[in-house]
Amino acid sequence: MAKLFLENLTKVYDNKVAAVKDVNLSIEDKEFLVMVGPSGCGKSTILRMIAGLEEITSGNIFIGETRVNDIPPKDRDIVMVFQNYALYPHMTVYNNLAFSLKMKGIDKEEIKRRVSDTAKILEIEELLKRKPKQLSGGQKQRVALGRAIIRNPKVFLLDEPLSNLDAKLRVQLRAELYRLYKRLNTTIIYVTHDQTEAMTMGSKIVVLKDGIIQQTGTPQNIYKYPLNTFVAGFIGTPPMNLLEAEINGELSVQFQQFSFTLEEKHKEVIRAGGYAGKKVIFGIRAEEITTSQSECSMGPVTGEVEVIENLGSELNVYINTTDGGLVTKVHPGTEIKIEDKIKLYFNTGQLHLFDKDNGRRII
Amino acid sequence: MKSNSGFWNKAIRLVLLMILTYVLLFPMTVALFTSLKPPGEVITATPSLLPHDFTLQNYRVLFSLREFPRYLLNSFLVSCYTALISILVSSLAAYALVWMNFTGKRTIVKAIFFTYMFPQILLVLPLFLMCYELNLIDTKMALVLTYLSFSLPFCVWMLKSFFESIPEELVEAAMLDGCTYLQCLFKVVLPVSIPAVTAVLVFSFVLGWSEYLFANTLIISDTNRTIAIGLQTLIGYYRVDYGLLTAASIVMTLPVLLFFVTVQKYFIQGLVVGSVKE
Repeated sequence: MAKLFLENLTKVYDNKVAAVKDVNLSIEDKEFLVMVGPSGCGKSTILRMIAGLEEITSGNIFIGETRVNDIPPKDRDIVMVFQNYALYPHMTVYNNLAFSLKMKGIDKEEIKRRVSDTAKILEIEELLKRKPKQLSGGQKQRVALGRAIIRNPKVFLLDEPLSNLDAKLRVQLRAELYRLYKRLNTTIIYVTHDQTEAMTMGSKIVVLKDGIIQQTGTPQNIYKYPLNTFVAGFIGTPPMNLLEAEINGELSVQFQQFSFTLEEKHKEVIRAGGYAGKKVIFGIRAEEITTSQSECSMGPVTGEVEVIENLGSELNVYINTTDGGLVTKVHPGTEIKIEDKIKLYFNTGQLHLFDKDNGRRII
Repeated sequence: MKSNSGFWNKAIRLVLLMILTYVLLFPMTVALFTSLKPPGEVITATPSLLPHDFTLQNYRVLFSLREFPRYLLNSFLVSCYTALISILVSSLAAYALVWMNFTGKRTIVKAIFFTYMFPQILLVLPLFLMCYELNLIDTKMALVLTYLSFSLPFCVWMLKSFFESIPEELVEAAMLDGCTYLQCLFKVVLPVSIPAVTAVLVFSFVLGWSEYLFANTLIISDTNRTIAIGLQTLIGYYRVDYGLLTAASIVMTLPVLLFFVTVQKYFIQGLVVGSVKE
């Protein structure tokens, strides 16, 4: 019912800057879609175009079967939660929640009932008489969410709703938001620059850069098979290690310190792409690098420990090698200190090779 | 040492403020007490600030003059119309200039600013001729229209600057909540702009209330005179009744004073605080 479809969506600003370029995207009914990307990648612009707050330069937006390009924001049956909450400062929480219903001309008793239901869901019943300036950041965000859910819209648009909150509250509200999604069972488009939020919440993720969709897929799919070096470096904490390597004559991946032979099926791809003898980018996740050798690991690469980040449950260790900087995760009990020389082994079961020139995935 | 310097800072500031207040309030105080003196006491060989006998005689005489209440009413009407039309038109204009896109927007903004740069005296003749052509001479409408031409550019700029400080998301949220442009202006933008709205109201009201030059030029008949001109009629050809004149001055000041007292808290109140995360 609330399926959304973006067709060749483009936004060019007056100064000829293209914020969004030819975006095609299908958002299924009741899907939790997360658009993620660095600042200025066009994710908020797309959201604002869906809401009707930004003019579309070219392309179409469909909600269900209806083309909504020329439908004003108020008639699109869409709500938006803003990063800075945008609560009406002169109204109480009750009136903030009730405002959209009043504008629709819904009768007072019905408004009262819906405000009370919404307040109950978000546990803000005791705040109804307060004004926004008397609320904490988390409470404001709850009211902002309440203002959205009270309308029971077809689509929820959330524009970095958690980024103004402190870290602890952010994690807490993240879980709450997801529970709310399950409860409301509706379509949500969520914009964030925080890839952790994207990974933890989205049923589908869209990674954007410079107004162009880089990859669309499930969190797991994007994490395991990033389509280019940008996605590989953007998704995942810590980001994927990207090292320069060369495909030598025997179709092995040649590093400065060691080389390993590719599997036969991968050799086919390399041959077909004409990568033999060329430089490529080799990608490996931190958890695929170990300090001990096993059957399927390749190496070793020797390097010096530069930084150790203690996360409690694990240590992120940054190592400088002649092949480039690497980060690996080790058990907190591991005896390791800065300036230690250590040997690293690559678990190449999950292989990532990218074209050096355009960053696209080869394998 | 630090608290000592804080004390002196405060003391100096207080003394300076006292001097300033004294300078500003002195004429008012003299006028007030003079208006409360009986006629024989107004001009004496040894002047005194406080009257020996307090009397409201001057006020009684003032309000018994047939024209005086009419002058007050005329001024009140002209000022109220000026203030209300100013806020209505300038808020609509400022809203459009801040949140709507149309061609020539920048030119309009500059043009509005440009109109504010003319000295009033330069416009007396053209405006008089315009009013004459429009058959508006000796009408209150002529005054209101003239005052609007002075108050509107200022009010539009004032509101425009204030609206620009309102987060755009607030307006967008209202639009998504189902507001039309007008509803958004009256239900969201103006309520959060109370300090600016008050300033605009005060400015245009006071302009209408105290303006002299145009009121003197455009109004001819006694029935349409405003208080600023009416005050002048109390000055006789051979003799000035200072008791009566000061009483009239005090009466003329009162509405503006009351208006200020009523709205001053809104000047200070920053309503936008707390609406969004700064």
